[in-house]
Amino acid sequence: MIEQEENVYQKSNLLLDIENLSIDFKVYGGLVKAVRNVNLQIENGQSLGILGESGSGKSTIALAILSLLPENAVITGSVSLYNDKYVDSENKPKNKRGLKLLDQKLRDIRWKDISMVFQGAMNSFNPVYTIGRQIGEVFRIHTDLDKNQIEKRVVELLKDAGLTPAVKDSYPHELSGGMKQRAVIAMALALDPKIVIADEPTTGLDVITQAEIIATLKRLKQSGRIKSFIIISHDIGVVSQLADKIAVMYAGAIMEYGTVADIYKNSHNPYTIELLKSYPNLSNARQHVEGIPGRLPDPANLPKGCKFADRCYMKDSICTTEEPELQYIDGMHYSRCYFAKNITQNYPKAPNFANNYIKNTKLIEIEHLTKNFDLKKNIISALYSKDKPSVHAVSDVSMEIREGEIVGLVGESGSGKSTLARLLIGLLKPTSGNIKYYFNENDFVYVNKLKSNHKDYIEFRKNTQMIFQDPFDSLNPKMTVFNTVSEPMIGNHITKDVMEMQEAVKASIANADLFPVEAYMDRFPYELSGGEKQRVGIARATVINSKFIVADEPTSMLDVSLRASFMNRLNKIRIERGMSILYISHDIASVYYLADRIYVMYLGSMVEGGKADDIIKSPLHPYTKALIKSVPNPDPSWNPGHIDIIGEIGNSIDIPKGCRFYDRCVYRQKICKDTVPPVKSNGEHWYKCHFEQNELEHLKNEGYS
Amino acid sequence: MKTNTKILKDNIKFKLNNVRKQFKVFYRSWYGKAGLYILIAFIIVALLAPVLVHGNPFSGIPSEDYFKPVTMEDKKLNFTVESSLNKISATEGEYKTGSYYMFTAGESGKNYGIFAITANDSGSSCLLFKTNGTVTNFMAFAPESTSLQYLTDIFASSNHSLYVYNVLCSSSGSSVKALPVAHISVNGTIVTAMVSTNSPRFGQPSFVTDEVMAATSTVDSCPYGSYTYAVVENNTGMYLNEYYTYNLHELWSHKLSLTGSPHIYFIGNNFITPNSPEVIVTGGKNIDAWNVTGALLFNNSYSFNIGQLAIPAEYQYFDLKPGYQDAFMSSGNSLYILNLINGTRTFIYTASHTIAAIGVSRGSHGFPSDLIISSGNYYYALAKSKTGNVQVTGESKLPFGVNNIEYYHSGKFLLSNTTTGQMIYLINAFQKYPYSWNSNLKASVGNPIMFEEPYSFKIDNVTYGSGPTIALLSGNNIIMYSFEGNPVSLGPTFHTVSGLILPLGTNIAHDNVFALFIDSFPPDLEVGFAAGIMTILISLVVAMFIGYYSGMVSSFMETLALSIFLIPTLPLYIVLASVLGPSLINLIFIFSLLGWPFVTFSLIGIVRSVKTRTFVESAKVSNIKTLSIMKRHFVPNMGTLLVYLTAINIGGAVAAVSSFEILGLVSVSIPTWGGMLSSFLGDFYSITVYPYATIPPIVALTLFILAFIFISRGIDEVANPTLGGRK
Repeated sequence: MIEQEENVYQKSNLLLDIENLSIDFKVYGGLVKAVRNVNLQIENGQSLGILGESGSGKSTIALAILSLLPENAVITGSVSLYNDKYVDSENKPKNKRGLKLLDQKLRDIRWKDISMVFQGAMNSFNPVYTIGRQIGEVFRIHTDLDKNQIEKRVVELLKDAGLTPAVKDSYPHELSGGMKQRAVIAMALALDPKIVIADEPTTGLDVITQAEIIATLKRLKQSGRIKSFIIISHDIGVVSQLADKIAVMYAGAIMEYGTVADIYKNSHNPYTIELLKSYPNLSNARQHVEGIPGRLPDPANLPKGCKFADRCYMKDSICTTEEPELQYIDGMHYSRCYFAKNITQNYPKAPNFANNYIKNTKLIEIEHLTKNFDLKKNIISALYSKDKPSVHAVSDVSMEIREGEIVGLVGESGSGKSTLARLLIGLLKPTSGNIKYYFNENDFVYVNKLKSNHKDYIEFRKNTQMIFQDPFDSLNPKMTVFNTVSEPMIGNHITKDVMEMQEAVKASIANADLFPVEAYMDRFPYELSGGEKQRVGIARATVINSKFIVADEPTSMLDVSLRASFMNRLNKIRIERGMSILYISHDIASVYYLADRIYVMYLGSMVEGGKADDIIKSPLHPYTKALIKSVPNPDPSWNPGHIDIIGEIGNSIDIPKGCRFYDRCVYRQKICKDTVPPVKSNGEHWYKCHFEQNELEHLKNEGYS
Repeated sequence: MKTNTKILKDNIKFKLNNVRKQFKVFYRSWYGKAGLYILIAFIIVALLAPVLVHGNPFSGIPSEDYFKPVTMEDKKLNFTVESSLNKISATEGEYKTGSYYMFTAGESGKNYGIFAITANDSGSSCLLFKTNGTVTNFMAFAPESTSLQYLTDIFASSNHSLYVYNVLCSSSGSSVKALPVAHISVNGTIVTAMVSTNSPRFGQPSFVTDEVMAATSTVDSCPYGSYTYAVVENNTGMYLNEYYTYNLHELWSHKLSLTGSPHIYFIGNNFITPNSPEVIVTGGKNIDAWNVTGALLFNNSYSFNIGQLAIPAEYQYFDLKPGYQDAFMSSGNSLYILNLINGTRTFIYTASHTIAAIGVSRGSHGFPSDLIISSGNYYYALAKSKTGNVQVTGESKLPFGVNNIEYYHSGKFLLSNTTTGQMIYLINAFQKYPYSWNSNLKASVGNPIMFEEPYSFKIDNVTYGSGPTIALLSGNNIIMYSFEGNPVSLGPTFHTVSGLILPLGTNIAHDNVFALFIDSFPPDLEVGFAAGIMTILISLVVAMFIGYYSGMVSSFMETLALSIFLIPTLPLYIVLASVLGPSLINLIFIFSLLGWPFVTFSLIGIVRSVKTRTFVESAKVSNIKTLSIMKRHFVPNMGTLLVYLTAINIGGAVAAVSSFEILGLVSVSIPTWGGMLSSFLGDFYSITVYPYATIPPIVALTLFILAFIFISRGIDEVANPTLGGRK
């Protein structure tokens, strides 16, 4: 911070002070500069948000505050709590006694003054101990309360975090993701810390649970249970809900600092502007978004000058020679750019696409598709029990995909989307139902009835491809890009001539926007970034000009700034070649951006379907309504209010006899429990429920009165 | 535009690049480096094995290297031995007491004379009689007589005198004394002299009085007497004189015309006809032969210097009958036959160097059955062929130059070099390793004599009986060897008698341990590598099958793998070895066919985890066949683990195979490390006796297995990289 702006009053209220913190990591290839010269301050009762992409150094700062960095970290600068420097590169303890004293100090600070909710914390519970015991461990280590007192405190904490006290006797595998995350928050609050650091608290959770966690955290903050708060995330919506001030980080340095309104409405930094516009959200509807071009700089070889220069639209010659300092804008607003005072907005031009690419001919049609996975509890039940327990992953799904259109499939995790995708591709065989594949308008075959060496089936296989969710796992680490992309050609015996194969692969790689093509042909996956790997996935899927591609959550593992370019690429290919794409995601905003039609799935059955605009603007099914409402809006004035949904997604083994949504519906009635709801439709837009819209309104008012 | 070959080359180049990067990581680890170097050293030794050692290590080493004579006595005498003579003479003493005497010339406190040494444990020596001046020649003999049997007479000559004494030993055998019989002085210098022991008498000479007759023989009809011959030199020339032994009266004297130093030979001991005995004198190029009566039989002069004359011992009984008339004569490089009746010579053979010694057997059937000559560093055995020619039938290298050959019996000779004191006992001139024991006294020795009557003695509480013994003088010591040598184990030595270098000595079976050790490298390495790699190949195929397919077939295969895993290897191999014969190939097969389940279980986990990876699904979507999926996706991802398991497996294979070899289940004709240790299985004490035969294979086995463990530890660094290296 520029020091002349602080006054004495603020200084005495200063809780956490990070001064000139730089962290380098010594690795075998050199020195990785993770954090460069960061200055942050948190006052009592304030919350700070750190916004940035993956690799920008956010988690490293959090670990440095708790002094949990690994041994090969080189720290310069200092972190102090209430003016007591406990991480200080200048006064490193020289002897054993000094080390012991430092250790003691750190032990006092950790968890009692500062506590942390780690990234992916729900996976860090020990599976053999109950939740109550693990939370109680905190008390056992840091305090000397006896068993009953500990139990009482644990119950209090769980209630604060929004869980029922029964959770304390359950094991981690019995809880859902959202409940585990709340348990982790409870653990972090155990000793009433002054600062709670939350590192990506909502990754891996679906939208509704995410909204609930955010609401819980907000409640805790407002009630004063959490005194000061640091929230680290890449999602502007999450950060803007929970923080008072935001610091935007890029390549280890702070790019912009200010209040939420400053950052969101009045940003003076090109990176922030680009970042905020770089992924679609529901309010922007289908405005064209262009991600940020280029890629993150290599932290072991940072370029000279401004690190964002090669991707910046305001680049000038001065940007590549010297790194700018933080410029003061007004109030608490600082920005690191030479052009901070006279920034301009960047409005990318939307490309002109012809809009006759959607044909009306059907390509794939599914009728009453069902897939059950059998569970074998023990050999007796497997052989003799009449009603075998099974996982009803997909139940009675019907949908159709036309040529040239993108169909979006939305649902929480556990709703059966991936199973449906694998059924369409042919990796799984359906228990019942039909999959029809149309060669042309009148000629179709039942794919599920064909043998695998039937020539129609081979034709079907040639025309379907898949883009997988995990870019790291979907490429064989021992095969080059050329080998990976040419695999569909080899498997479908397209050609034996190596030259032809090369040409086709080169064309496909160019189409996926990987330049220079020659260099990429011989690279191994470990030499590629996440975005490049996923683009190799596109290249592989499009190399033999398939008519139908299933994209199973392709952007969920990518950085935010890469998602938009990926989706644009997919769209471009679809328009150029007239392919159909089934785009599966749990991120409604990106589905809305790409899809022409959307289907909504819940617990294995399709609950709503229709044109994209219709679904998003006027959802009919209660579940869809709750989904749309719970997408966080980065506008700080947004308040979700109450989301009309109860509980968590159930399991698909003991399904209710009637409507699948019965357990969570706020409008449920007795009839919903027994009878399967019918399909109600007006034209293209249909939903499954017993009640019409006006009836639902009526029930809702009744319910809340 | 890349062509097919260029793509292939680029592919290989990238794969090699990858391998090089992995090798760098591997090389960083200390363990990997050490293991790799040890393995390379083993492979180099195995490849160089045919160069380092020649021939079959089981073919044995020359017997003279590891046989040693049993020393029965090695006593310092309490008088100074007359070293210019360096001769022992022995014959039986008083049979009743069972003691034997040896006689030698010596000096004790200015007294020159003949000393008697008792040849048993309590041996002592005493001066029998004095001579004036050093003894130049002596002989002990026992003339045939019935009532005075086994009485020994001694003849000695000094420069100018001749003496004959009678040796008496006490009834207990503890003391011996000599009684003078005759003594004369000669005018001139006695060059050489000898006595004939049982020559037929040609009537009582006139000068022999009845007393003398009575003193010498109590039986008038005894047809044998004894004559003494001396070559005397005075200013008129050299003369051969014959004396009657018991009163030393000169019977005749003939002038000799010799061109070199004289040697006297007598043939006629135990002849019946009195006209046949001959005394032969050789000197330089001349040879003269006279009858006992003084008649000249032949007188020849050759164009060459006469070396040795060898007369088979049994010819002394056959009256020079036909077939018993030929003696062997060496001259320079050539060997001749000398007819003893008319003195004609016949050429037999020329050797490459001077013939230093001739050894003949007794010749009781005419031509001697064994005839050996030593020339240079070789000996040659000669025999008469069917056509009547005498030719070389066997030869062998001598470890030293031999100048004295003594025949003992049945083809056994003692070859010695009297100047250097080296002796070697030849037991069969025609076999590959013809020698038995050798001894090196490192000082000049007298010619060894053989005791024909055995007596038993004890060494180290071991009783040696009934074998003839050899006695000789070495310096001032008397040494007695038993004929039968003792095999001993040798330690590491670089100087053996036969010139062999034994860096690690010999083991219990008297094999060259170094040859055995180096020759074990190739078989052990082959077995290890073959068994290890075969196991890995079988396991790879089975593991892919079990891991990829799920369901009944794969469960069945897994159960089968488990049951094979539980089959005990050792009893199965014993049974198979007894049915099919023990061979290394069987061992490799057994080990591979029973050892694969272990590796399979490790690999199944990997296959199953790779199967769940998304790129396998993507390959299925791209319609790749199952076999291609396994080849393209599974095997490369298991690569590092495969190498790791191969390394561990090869080490384990060698360990298992070696344990079989130690138990003796593998054929003994192949040298292996375990085989070297198998002889110690029932006899652990021998390990301390033969440390150089046990320690090399143990060290080799340990290092070999450790090398693979280290290599696998290095590969572990590649397969499981950790930040900052393994702690």
